[in-house]
Amino acid sequence: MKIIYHCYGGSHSSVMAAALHLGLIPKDRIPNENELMTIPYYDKTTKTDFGSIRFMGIDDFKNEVYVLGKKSMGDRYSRLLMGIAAILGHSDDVLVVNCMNRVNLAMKLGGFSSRRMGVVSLGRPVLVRGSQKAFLELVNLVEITRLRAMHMV
Amino acid sequence: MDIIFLGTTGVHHALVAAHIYLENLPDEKYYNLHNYANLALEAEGAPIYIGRDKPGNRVYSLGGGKDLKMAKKSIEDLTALLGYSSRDLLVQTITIPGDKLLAILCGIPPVLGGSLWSELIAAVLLKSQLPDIRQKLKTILMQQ
Repeated sequence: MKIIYHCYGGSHSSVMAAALHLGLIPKDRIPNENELMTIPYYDKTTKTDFGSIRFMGIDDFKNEVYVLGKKSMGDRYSRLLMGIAAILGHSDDVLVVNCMNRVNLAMKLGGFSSRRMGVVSLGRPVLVRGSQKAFLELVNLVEITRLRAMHMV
Repeated sequence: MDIIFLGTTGVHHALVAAHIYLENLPDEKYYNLHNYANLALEAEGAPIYIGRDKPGNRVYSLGGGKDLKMAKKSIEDLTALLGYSSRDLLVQTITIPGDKLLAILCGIPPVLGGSLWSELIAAVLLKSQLPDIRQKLKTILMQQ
């Protein structure tokens, strides 16, 4: 199965969710800034990455995990991609997960300042605080997704 | 093969283009087309099946939102991830002047007259752009 986590920029909540899914960061404690910065693509993407489905890794059940930035398209983008998968006859092989409902205001403001405005020194500390605050919400999302991938939910 | 006509919305110019491609629109009465300006269907966001062309290809219309380049990139990436190419799923972008406005108007709730505004603007845009859409489709068919 191919699991695609998506958020506004494909740079923060989706890559954190993908990293949690793949075990790149521990789930049982809140990560510090250094640990967050070691996640591939975390606070590193540019506007040319919008729409690109980027590979993050393969989980312990051989599912391929990807991330995607889709601006403010919301759940509609999940349905768009699932529709394409259905046309190609692969609706059971793709799982598209919107991470935006787990994103808090600090992540939005920090992410906007760091990625969109390019003011990393101002945005990143706010972003990291927001990411730490949203961490357990993302752990919850990932656990639900892993169960969905195993067809248990 | 599957062909997707991708517009900012899937129920206005993209839907009209798909019907023109299938030779379902001999006159100018695009507003009578099945699912034209169906905002409930547009809100679902999934591809809308229109029909089959003469060689048997399935034809769809799809609303990709304001950033069509991004939507096209995601569709092509997913197609490649699933082991297919543009020979299996062809995405044909359909743009007309003012089409981003249509996507924005589709987001207005019905209680605020969302459908009324989008129908009004779509009528103004499509009436003037219909010959251009037909011309674009002729070019596409010639390229095929």
